[in-house]
Amino acid sequence: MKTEFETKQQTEFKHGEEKLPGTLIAVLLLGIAMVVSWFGAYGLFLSR
Amino acid sequence: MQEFPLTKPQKKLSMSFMYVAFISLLIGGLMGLLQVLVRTGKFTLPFGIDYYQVLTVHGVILALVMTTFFIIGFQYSIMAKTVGMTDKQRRLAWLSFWVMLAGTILAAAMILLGQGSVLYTFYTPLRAHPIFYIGLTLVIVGTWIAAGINFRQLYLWKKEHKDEKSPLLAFMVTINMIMWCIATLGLAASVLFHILPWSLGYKATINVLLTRTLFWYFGHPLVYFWLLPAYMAWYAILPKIIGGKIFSDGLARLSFILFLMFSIPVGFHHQLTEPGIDPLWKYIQVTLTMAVVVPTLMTAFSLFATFETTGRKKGYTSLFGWFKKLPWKDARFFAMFVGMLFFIPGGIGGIINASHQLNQMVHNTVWVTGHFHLTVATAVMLTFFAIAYWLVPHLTGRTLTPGINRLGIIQTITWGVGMLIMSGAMHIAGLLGAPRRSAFSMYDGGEQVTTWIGYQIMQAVGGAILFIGILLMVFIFIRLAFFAPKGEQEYPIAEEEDHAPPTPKILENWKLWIGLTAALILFAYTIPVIDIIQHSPPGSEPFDWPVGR
Amino acid sequence: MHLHRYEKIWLVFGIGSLVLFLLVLGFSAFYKGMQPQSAIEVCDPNELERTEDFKPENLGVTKVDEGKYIVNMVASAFNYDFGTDEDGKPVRKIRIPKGSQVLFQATTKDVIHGFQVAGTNVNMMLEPGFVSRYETKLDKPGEYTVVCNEYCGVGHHLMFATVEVY
Repeated sequence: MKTEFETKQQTEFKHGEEKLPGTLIAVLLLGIAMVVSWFGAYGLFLSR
Repeated sequence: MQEFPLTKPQKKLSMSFMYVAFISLLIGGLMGLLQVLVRTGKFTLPFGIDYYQVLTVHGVILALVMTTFFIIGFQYSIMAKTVGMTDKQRRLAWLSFWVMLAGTILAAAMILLGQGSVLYTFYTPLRAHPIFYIGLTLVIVGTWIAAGINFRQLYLWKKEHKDEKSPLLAFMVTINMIMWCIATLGLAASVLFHILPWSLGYKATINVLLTRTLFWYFGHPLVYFWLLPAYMAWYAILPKIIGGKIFSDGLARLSFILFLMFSIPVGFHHQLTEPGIDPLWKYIQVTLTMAVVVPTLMTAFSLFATFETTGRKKGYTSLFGWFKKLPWKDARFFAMFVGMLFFIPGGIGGIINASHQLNQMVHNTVWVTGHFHLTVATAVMLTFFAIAYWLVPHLTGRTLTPGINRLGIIQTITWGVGMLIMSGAMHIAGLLGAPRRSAFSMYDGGEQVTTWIGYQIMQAVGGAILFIGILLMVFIFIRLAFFAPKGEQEYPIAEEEDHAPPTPKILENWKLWIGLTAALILFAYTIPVIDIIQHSPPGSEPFDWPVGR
Repeated sequence: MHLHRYEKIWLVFGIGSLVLFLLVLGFSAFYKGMQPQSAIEVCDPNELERTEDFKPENLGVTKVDEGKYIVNMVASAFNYDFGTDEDGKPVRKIRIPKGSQVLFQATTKDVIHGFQVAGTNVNMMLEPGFVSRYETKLDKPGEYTVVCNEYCGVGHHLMFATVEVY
């Protein structure tokens, strides 16, 4: 099991594209938090 | 990768900086506690001590002394470990320590005598005792000596290793110190040519806006000077602790280069509500400020990717399975992780603060205080604590025991909870208009003021929890420095994958990056500074009495 | 240098958001005129009585037109000077009808002060030698506390006034 995993890992590196779906989702959530907060602040600014 | 074991005298050197840093933490933390208590309105300072004297101690000792000593000590250890340190360099490093300490003592003495209650920003025309400024200058001079040593260390290593890339951590230290040297030039110009002669009476008046502008030319890179050592740990130490490898050596270097280039020409975003600066130049620097967000975006990706690749290599294939498997029970990781978590709202808040006219909503309100207690006082500070958990025992020849590790976890939770309450209350009160840097006051007794007081009580609750966190941290430090069992604590330095793609050589083209940095600074500051000097109002005479001198 | 495909997506999203913020800010600043204050007008902090805006009789609220007001104020440690009322007492509270367009003009005689009408966008640094100006519409009735939000000395927290919108 372990050896099999390592081989798989190496082929991934050959393509230079590790499997990172979790990372993509995590950073996009972060980005959405950024955009939502910023427009919240901008809305508050306009309302004052 | 070649590593140099730290020698006993080298360990002693870095450890001396740690002592000063943690004593400063205790004093500064105590001041913080007094402040939040005063601001509840139910407590008055004994012996007629002035609130703003306490506030000056808090700002100077934590923002300038604690951070700088920790950073310089940590960086000496990094350089000695990765590129080596000669005996001559070590002796000079001691000089930097003593100069910084002498400066600290001079400035502290003036503050304690009530001759320096001008806060750590020392805006003119409030005047402190000249020795206060001399003391702060000496602290900076000490860091310049350190910078010179660090540059020499890398230079000598490069001579021995002609075609190799410099070790990642040594590269990062060098970037941080280049940035620091360029930034402190502004502060030195302000203090040596304007404030000091004026405070001594050789110059009758001072250009207030110019000294403010020079301060913030230094003041923004100052926050990156705090942050970059934390990023060093996140990029190049954390992967080792979680059992992984560096995600991308090249991207890590690129993000540090971007920090060097964009952290300086952005000081106007601290001066957005000032009357004497052209709005176009403010906006230009706001744009450059957004550019300095980019390396942090890159860092966020790299960190998640480090977690995910490490977890997947260990066999966790589900979407977020890798996340569960992080070493949550390791204080060296956990404290850093919580720091990162707090950097998310901290960073977002920072973008709002820097957003030109949006700044009017929050400028100089307690929101700003809440903001930098997320960034420097949590993201950076918890990372420094995480570093201390292994660095201090490494330096003292002891080990981080499971018991102390547990205390470290508790410390982190205490800090997180306390800060959530305190900083949260500050953010809300700030949006409601409560000012920062102010002792307890009911002002006109209006309805708005009443709402602020409730949040000030919340701040006191959070602040008290944070103070417990500080006591706990100081206790941990003492255990690790003097009482933990003897042994060899690892100095964790992450490595690259064996088959990692090569790092482009251009990333170490110092002339190119320093040249671009200088060009950006000249672009952002030349015209507005000429304007400030040419269209300056009559200068200001010094004012002593408002600060109780 | 290799950039992961997902990192490219992330950076396009992230940098795109920052550019969007800048476009929104730039549009409202340069097209709509919503700039943070930047009067860039100098004055002599020792000779304020001689300037039109800050001579004693012109301090406080002045109605210039229907629904248009000017508020002149001189700050000093630790006081906001809005002039005096009919009885010769210093004005602590200024009153503005709601919906008015108000131009705040302020400066300082001595050290740096702040001038913030809490809960509004009126938030200016006051620096010796510079006139600070900000124009806004006060729509919501209520009492607003004016606070000094830049440290100016031992009495910094005792520096305040009130703006009432009625």
